[in-house]
Amino acid sequence: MGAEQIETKWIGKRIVRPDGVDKVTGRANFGADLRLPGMLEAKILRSPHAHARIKSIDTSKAEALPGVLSVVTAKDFPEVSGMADAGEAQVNFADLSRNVMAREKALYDGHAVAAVAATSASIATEALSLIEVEYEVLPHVIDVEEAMKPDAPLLHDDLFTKNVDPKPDKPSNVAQRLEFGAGDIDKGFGEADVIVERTFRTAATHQGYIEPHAAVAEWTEDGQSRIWCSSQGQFAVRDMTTTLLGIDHANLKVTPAEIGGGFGGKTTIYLEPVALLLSRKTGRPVRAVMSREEVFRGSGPTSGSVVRTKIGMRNSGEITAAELGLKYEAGAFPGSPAMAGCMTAFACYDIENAKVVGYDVVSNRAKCAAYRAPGAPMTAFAVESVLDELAEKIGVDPIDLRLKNAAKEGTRALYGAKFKQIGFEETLKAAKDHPHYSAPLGPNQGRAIACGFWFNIGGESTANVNVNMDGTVTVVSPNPDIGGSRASMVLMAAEVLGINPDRIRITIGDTASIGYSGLTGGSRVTFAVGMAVVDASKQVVTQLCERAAQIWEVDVEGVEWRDGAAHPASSNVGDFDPLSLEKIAAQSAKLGGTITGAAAINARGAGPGFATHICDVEVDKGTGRVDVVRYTAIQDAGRAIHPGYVEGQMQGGVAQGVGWALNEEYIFDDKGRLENPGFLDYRMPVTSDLPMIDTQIIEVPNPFHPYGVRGVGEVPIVPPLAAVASAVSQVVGKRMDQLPLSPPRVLDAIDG
Amino acid sequence: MARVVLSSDVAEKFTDRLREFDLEADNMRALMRAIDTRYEGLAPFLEEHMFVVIDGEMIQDQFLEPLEPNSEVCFMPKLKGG
Repeated sequence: MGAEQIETKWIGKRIVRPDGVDKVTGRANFGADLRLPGMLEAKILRSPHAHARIKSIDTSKAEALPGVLSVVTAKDFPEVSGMADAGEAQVNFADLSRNVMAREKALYDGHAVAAVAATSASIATEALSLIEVEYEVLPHVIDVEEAMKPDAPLLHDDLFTKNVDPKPDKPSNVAQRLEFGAGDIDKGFGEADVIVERTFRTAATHQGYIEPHAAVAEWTEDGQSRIWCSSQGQFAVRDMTTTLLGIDHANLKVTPAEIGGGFGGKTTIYLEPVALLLSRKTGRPVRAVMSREEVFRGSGPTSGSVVRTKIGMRNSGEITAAELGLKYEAGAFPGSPAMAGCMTAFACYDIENAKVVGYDVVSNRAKCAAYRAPGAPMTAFAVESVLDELAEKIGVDPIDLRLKNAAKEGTRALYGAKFKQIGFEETLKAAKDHPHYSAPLGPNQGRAIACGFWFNIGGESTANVNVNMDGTVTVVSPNPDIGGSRASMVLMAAEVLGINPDRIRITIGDTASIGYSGLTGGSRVTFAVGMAVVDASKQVVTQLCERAAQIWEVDVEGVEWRDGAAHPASSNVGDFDPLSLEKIAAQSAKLGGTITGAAAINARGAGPGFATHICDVEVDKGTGRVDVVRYTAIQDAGRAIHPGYVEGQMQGGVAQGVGWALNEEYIFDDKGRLENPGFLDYRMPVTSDLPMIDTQIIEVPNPFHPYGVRGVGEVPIVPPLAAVASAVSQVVGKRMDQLPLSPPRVLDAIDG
Repeated sequence: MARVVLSSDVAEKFTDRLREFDLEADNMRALMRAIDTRYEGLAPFLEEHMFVVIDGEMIQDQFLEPLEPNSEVCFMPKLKGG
C-alpha cells in the first residue's frame, strides 16, 4: 500500500504504442473490415417519424427482390421483459429490445423498424424501399421541459414516475425523481451574504466516434454463433445479445475488433442481434454497418439538460448552502445519467448544507447512451459558472474561492462516501502557479477556470500472462483498447517481471479465450484490469522462483526475483549465478510445463479523479465567433502509467468539451426529424479549431492500487463547458447560460 | 460496531430519515443481516442498487468483506461510466 513508496523502472515511461504500426499502416481491423465467404450485407429501415404507431409491416415485396435473402422485424425477436444484469450495469431488456427494433411504436426519427440481408449493399438498400410500413403518426415531443408537461404527448402508457409520493395514478414522461441532501439548506442560505441562482441549458451532444457501429455475425447449424464487432466490451455485447435472443452465453463467441472511438457510446448494442437473427434466417454470415447518418439518428447521444442551481456564500468565500435541480433527456426510453449528475454536482466541494433533485425524462429522441463522465459535465457547467459569478461578486480570485471550499481527505460527499486521499487541492494550486494563469490577455479575450470530478470505477477484471519458451511474454487482456490500455498493461507487466517492455506482446482476448471482464468504461481499465495484470504477473514471478529453486535444488524461500532474474535471497542459499527469465523459460517443459499466470479479480478501491482547467477565449464581436486561444488541463492521475496516453485522454476530453460548449447540438424540424445528421452540419472541433492543449499531470497516488493509478478518461470532459462559457461571459459582459455558444447566441449577448 | 451511512434518499425511504447508525457486525454479510433485521427490506434494496464504500474503499459487489470495529460502511448508487 502507498504507491508513493514504490520506485519503478518502467511505470511512467512513454513506450511506443503496441497498436501503433497496425493503425498507421491501415492494417488494423475495425468492425466493418471483416469479410467472410458468402457474407451478406444488411441494411436497416428506420422510421421517418418522431412518434408513430406501427400498424403493419409488409415485407413481401422486399423479400421477392432478387438477391434478398431475408427480412427481420420485431416479430422475429422474442419478447423479453424485466431488468437483468448485463456486465456491471442493470439493463431493462424490454426497452433494449424495443430500441434495437421498434415493436408497437416508433419512438424517434431513425428508430429501426426492419432489416434486410441481401447479396449486396445496394440490393439491401433497394429492398428497404419495398418494405411497406403503415404508420399512425402521433404527436411528438422533443424538449425535456415540454415533455414534462401534463399534456405532453405520452411515449409510454405504462411509465409511472418512480420515487414520488403519493404514487402517481397517471403515466407521464417523467421516469424517475431523485433526491440527495445534507444539512439544512434554508439555514445555510440564511447565513449567506450573497446568493446567485441561475438556470442553465445544454444541448444533447453525440460522442462523435470516428468509426460507425459495425458488426459481422454468423449463426451455425449446431447453434454456436459468432460476432465480430467494435465495442467497449465484448462480454457486454455477448450478454446483451444472448439475453435479447434467448440463447446461452456459451453459444455466442464475440471477438473484439479494433475500435475507432466509443466514449461511452459503444457500451450498448444496436446491430449485433439484428445481424445474428438475419444470419440465423439465411444460414450465411451477415455484416451490418451504420452510415454516419444512421449513427446520428439511431445511436445514443448524451442527454440535453436544464439545470437550475442556487449557491449561497459568505463574503469570506465560504459556501453556506447549495441547491440544484436537474432535468435530463433520456431519449425514447428511461435511463438518462440523472443520478450521476446529482451525485457529481457538488462533489468538488465540502458543503454542509446542500440539496439536489433530479428528473429522468423521456422524449422522442434517440435513446441516450453513456458519454464520458455521463451526467457530470452538465451539472458542472451550472455549478462552476455560478461559482465564477460569485467569485466576481465578492471580489475573490476564483481559484482561491475554490480552495476555500475544496473537498479533501475526510470530506463526505453529498452521496454519502468519505474521500480518502484525493488530489483536488493539488490541481487548484498547480493552476494558480501555472504561467498560463498569469499571462496577459489580448483584446476581446477572456479567461476562466473550472473544475470537475468523476468517481471512476473498478469491477470484474481478468488477465492472462504467458511466458514463451524464448523468454518473451504474451499478455492477454479482456478489454478493447480505446485509450492506450495495451501500453499500460505492458508497462505494468514489465515492472513486475523486471523485463524490458519490448519483450512483451499483448493481445485482446475474445469471450471464449479469457474470463469475463466488465466494460471498457468508467475509467476503469488501466486501474482494474491493470490490477489483474499485476496479479497474473506476480503469479508468473512465483512460478519462476519455484523453477529456479528446482534448478538450484534449494527451498523456494531462498530465491528472490529482481531485475528480470532469480537470485539467491542470501549468501546462505548458495553461490549461484542469476537465472534470467529466458533461461528458466527454456527449461519450462522439464520443470512442470508452461509458466503462466491467470488472474480474475473484482477490483475495488477505485480512486476519484479531479481536474482544474484554465481556458482563454477570443470573441469576434462582429460575428459572434468564439476561438479557444489557450487551454491548460490539470488533472490528478494518481500515477500516470504511460504519461503520453494520460495527456491524450486529457486533450481528447477537452476537445470534446469545447465542441459541446461552442458548436454541437441536434437540430430538429417541426416534425421531430433530425436535420443535421452529419459532420458538415453537426460541427465537432477539428485540429484547426483548437490550440495545442497544454496538460499538467498531478500524481496523488490512489492508496488502493499497487502503483497508485486513478482512472483518467472521463474527468477531462467535465470542466470545459463551464471554463469556455465563463471565459466568454467575461468578454461579452453577460453570463452565458445556454450551450452551444453559437455565433448568433453570442451576438445576442453582445447586443444585449 | 460498524457505522452505516446512507444517502438521504435511501434514509427517506427506509429509516425514517436516519442517515447514520451503528450495528454489530464483523463482515458485510453479517452487517446486511443486521440491517435487514432492523429495517425490513433495506438490505435487498442496498444489494440490488448500491455500491458499498468501506473505510473509503469502493467495492462494487460486496459479500463477505471483513469489517473493523470502527469501520464506516457507506452505500452509494451503482454507477456506470462512459
